Amino acid sequence: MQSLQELIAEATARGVTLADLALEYEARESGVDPRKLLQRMGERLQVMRASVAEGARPGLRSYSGLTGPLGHKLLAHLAAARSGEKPLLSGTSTFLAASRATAVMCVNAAMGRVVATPTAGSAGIVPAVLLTVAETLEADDEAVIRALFTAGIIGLVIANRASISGAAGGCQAEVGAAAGMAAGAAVELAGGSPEAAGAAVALTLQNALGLPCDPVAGLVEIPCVYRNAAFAAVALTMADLALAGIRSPIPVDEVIDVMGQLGRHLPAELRETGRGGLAATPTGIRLARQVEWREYRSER
Amino acid sequence: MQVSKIKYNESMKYRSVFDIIGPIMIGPSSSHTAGAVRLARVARGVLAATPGRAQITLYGSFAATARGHGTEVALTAGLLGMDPDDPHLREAEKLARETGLRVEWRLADPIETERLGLPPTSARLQLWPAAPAGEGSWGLMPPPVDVLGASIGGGAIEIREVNGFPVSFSATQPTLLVFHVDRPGVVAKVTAELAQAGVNLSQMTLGRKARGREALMVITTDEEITNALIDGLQTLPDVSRVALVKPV
Repeated sequence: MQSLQELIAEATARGVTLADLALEYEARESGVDPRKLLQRMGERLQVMRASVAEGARPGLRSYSGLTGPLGHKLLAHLAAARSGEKPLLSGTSTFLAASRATAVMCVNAAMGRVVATPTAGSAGIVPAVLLTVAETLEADDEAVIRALFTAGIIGLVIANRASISGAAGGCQAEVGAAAGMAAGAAVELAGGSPEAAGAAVALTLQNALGLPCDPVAGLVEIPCVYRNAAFAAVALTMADLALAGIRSPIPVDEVIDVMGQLGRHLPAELRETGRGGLAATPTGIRLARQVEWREYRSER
Repeated sequence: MQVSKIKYNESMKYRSVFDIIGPIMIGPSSSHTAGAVRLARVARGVLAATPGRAQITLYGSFAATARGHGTEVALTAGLLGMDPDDPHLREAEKLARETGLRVEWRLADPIETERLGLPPTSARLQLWPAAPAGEGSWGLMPPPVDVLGASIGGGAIEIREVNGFPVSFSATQPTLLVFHVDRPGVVAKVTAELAQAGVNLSQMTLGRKARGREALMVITTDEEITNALIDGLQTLPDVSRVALVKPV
């Protein structure tokens, strides 16, 4: 699980998908029957669906009070756009994916139940993209579960070659990794080749390079929620680019490696310490004080 | 079907697709919440008892953003034996007060974290068991369990030190900690016992404080470990204590 290029070459040579390889690897590694593994992934899919639904609730508020029911707001906007009351500038599926990613992140910030994909700070992207693509393609649950295995094996390579920790590698390691996983899995879900899936990963990751982890007040809210929305859209677009036949001139393993290197070069202020980037703006600092004050009062 | 060429690599930090698509957890942060629950669960497992008092040192990003990410709540939840997806996780601090678990916090400054060369999300957990009825204090007793570990991302953890012994395990499989005296033949007796029970070892490390003194075996297994097996290991000569850390 150290090279996506090797996995792609093997899948291509054997005429199988990355999802097949992932399932084979997991079964061998764990000694668990593949049918059981599919079932276990199915349970995760159910938790993802539940978190998307929960995130659309109108009364949802984050634990800190910094973010409100954003998922609900977006879905209401989509309904208004569909009835012609409001304009929708991006496409319906792109906007739906962004809305669903936001919804999951609102549940996460409310200390609700989510599936870390690969992390909680990036938990919106994979469910949002795959559930939206499945709707577009009218794919069944088994196809989505297999796509989650594709996402998983892509993430496994990124985690082992670079990082999936914002504290170690910045936001590119979390939101960037999640978007790469989602784009590659979306390509396979749409019937694209392992090579096309790899291209989607490479194209997506290079657009996330250098993204810092700079959460206001150290909370997984600002800007994490918005970045999940943005990169759900990026993942969908890059999956389309790959399906259109575009390939990344820089091979995917090299893009992953440079992401790891860039992460190590980021100063500590930009690696989940809440001391740099947006967190260190005058408003970011004011919001952090506001949260501390609320906590202080709630503990009295 | 042709057998895959992909080889298992011992140096890999993440081994399962379910480490990436998962865990199922209570938000908001996989490293600062779910990983923190797991670190505390490991320390509780090493103690092999209900903790009554804990001193926890937070390093790096853990220290910088502890409250916002619910790290303190999550570590407390783990000490109470909760899972990362326990719906009562957010009430852990209240539950700790009710059950008499006392947790003391220390935030290490960034210079200390750097000097120790620790990953940015590390914690040291020193635990004492709940005092027996009638005894109100632990006095100046040193902590029976001292665990240093890091949350490395996506909820995965790496334990780096147990009671002063350098170790490296991730608690994704059952892990046995066998505290023993450094004498010839102890390892053979322990592994023979495991072999007889049909337990396959996937990783094993050995360390000692000094020749002929305290030593620690850390054994990761593919199969689950029964209480009978732990009791059997515990009665072996020169074995002082056996703790089982179950995968969280």
